[in-house]
Amino acid sequence: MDRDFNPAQVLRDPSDSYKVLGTRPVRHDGVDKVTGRAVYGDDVRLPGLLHGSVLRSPHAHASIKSIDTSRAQEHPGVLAVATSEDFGELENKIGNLGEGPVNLAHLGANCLAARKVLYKGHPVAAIAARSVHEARAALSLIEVEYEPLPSVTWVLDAMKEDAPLLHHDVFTDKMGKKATKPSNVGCHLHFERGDVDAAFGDCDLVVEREFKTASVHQGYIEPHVSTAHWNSDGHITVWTSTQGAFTARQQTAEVLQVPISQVTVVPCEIGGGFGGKIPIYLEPVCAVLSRKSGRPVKMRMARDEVFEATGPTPGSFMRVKIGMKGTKIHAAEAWLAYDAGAFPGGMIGPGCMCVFSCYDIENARVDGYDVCMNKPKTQAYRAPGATQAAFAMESVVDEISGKLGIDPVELRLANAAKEGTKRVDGPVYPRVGLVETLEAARSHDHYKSDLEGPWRGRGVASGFWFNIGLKSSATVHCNPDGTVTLLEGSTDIGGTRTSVAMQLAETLGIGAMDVKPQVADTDSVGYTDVTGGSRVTFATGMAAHEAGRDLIRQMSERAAVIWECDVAEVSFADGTFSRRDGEGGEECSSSFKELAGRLLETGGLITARASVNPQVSTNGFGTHVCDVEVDPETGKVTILRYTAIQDAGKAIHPSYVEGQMQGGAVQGIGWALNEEYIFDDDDHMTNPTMLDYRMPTALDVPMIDTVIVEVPNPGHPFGVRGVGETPIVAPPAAVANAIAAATGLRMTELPMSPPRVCAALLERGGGDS
Amino acid sequence: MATVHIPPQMRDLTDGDAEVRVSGGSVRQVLQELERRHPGIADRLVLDGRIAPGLALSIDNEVTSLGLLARVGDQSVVHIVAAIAGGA
Repeated sequence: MDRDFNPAQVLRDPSDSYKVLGTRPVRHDGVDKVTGRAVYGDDVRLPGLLHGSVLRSPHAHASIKSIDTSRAQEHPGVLAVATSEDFGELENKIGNLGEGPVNLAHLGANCLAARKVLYKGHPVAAIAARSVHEARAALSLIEVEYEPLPSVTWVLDAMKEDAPLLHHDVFTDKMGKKATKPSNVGCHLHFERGDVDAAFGDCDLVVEREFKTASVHQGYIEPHVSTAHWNSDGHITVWTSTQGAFTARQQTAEVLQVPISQVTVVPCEIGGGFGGKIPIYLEPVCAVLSRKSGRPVKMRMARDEVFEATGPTPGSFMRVKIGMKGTKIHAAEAWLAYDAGAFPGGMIGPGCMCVFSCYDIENARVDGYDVCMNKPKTQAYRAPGATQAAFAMESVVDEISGKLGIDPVELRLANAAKEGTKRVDGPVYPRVGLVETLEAARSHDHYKSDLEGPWRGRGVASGFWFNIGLKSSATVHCNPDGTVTLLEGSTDIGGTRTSVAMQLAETLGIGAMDVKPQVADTDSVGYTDVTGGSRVTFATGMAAHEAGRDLIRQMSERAAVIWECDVAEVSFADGTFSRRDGEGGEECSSSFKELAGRLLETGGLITARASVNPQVSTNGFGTHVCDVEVDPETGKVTILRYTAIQDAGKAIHPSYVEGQMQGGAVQGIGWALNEEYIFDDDDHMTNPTMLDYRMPTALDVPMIDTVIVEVPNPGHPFGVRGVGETPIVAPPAAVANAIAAATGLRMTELPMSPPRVCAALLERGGGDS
Repeated sequence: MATVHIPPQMRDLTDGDAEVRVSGGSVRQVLQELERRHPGIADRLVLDGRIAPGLALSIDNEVTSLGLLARVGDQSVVHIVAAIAGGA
């Protein structure tokens, strides 16, 4: 396709005068990553290392009558065998992991099943041996007596009164009010504002549709891998692929029931997480095997284990009803039921809060249900719960634009959330950038261009994610050569070492490469919450900025010593310390580098630090435009052109923001067109390989064009908003709306795979585009 | 006094009132006052000395991670919302 426009635009804030922020330096960890020297979890090698392997349930639902490991323990090469008994009895206690609570008994039972298995692939026992081959061979010698139970993997079936019950101690929670009878429904949430029933009665047009989405895996390329060494002094060191070293430390300590100070977690480089590497799976199992064998133990999952036993995002059933009065959304209602998987506590909360989050609606009602079933425990996946809800809501909005004969962007602009808009759950938005993304879409070359040809169509959709703050720490050591070492606790996913280092560089008035960032272990840096919630560039960047200010304060004191003046006379701007002329004093100045070179003679090198806990959401909005072509013979949908537009607040490193937008869009396209867990009659996943679980490749998508809109966030010193999650929210709806434009068919089930599109065309009787 | 918005599922405890104005400089104090006036509401919101899992409090439109210790201003607006968990 010939194009004469910039495929990666940045619409800057005109007041922006930064020197480092907004530039595109080479990433600090780039050489190590491209040369293979970076240390990932599977690169960890320790003297005497053993290899572990997990015995997994062959049933989707069964009681465990007995486990006999005696024969396995006798197998050559085996040094330890573990079952859930090695964890001890875990309480039904709630642990707060920073980004969300977790029931510790459920967490432990998900690492090694106790009494029941709840999904095919659920871990039952583990073995450590001298080689992984010996460990795997010995697994077959473990004798487990199961009593198979009926299973369920569809959300509406699991909600039925006579559905197979997973837990006898789960009672539907309605904001703290517990039902008296056990149920698969973990919770029911209800939010409402205005007079919804009266408002629907007052509408000129009402559209109501039902939608289904499949379970979808985060699809990180690097499988889960952990190594643990339980030292003879009782200290446990864990090397692992995790999105949050401190969270992994807390979970591991809680499951093992040891003091948190007894555990050190060393975060390795990570080959993707997307929310799926916040929970622990292998860490406490490795630790127990290490304690029993006296040797360090490494465990790594194969791809089928990743699919069958780690968190997918929820499948869902949703019903959305919208009432219009003129061009205004006058009333809205949503009913959402999301998979929780094997244990309660899924993503229904954010789903409820996000479904109407792009719109200013006076009368709205949402009901949401978190439903247990015989699938792996669902976990966060990039804007968890929002993508499903946006697929439903944005499809209905698109259908309404067609019925009203209004351009879909104009309809969204007429109803867009903005500063002062109240969400259905109550909070009111501060300054947000949805309108700006819609205006950027309307004026973009893509949206203005003609799309010609049969079976081709264009779709547009918007999306929202909260973006959270939470706790981050940074430590800065000033080196005598004028560089600084930055220690941070945030696992680097997507270039955050550099985006955080750039904020410190801007603060100190030095170059980005004069900052040497390192991700440290849990004993070497202050507490830092997970790399999740699109929070690292925002919150850890804020911590680096604060640490930079602390460094400037301390260096100003040294300048005062050198210039024999009061520190109040020393000022700092643009990387230069200076002393004001006046009161008989001499005018002095020193660059950051010059002053750093004199620290040793004025008392020694300086360390600065900061910990922050911003209590804010940064409210990310995006709008995507998608062109597709549908093959009416096969049902295959080809993405012809795709543009993602997003408010990033301030794009610290535009290339990384673009990378997040492109990655999110491609993952969303995967949800839209191909990705799904397929279960057989026994509720076993039939496609747990990358061959059969069809993720998009570079051959499946065009270049994803991007437009970064900068609407500075007033809650951050540089105006940063989170960017990592919002871009996955809009794509399924954008693709569905494009298919509707191409075919006249409104697809209401994800994925819109060739068989489903073909079936829909056949049901309609074929026909023209 | 702060204004606490009561979600529909808790209005059985407030005689249907959607808003309650209460005094208190922290979430803990606000909940104590709410409990005094509407017995049972603290049990619904607090578990083991923390905000119950799955729930969160928004104070002046920002969700707090400080739980019962979060400060509440004289004119603050408090909403009871669902907890958020994120990806990356």
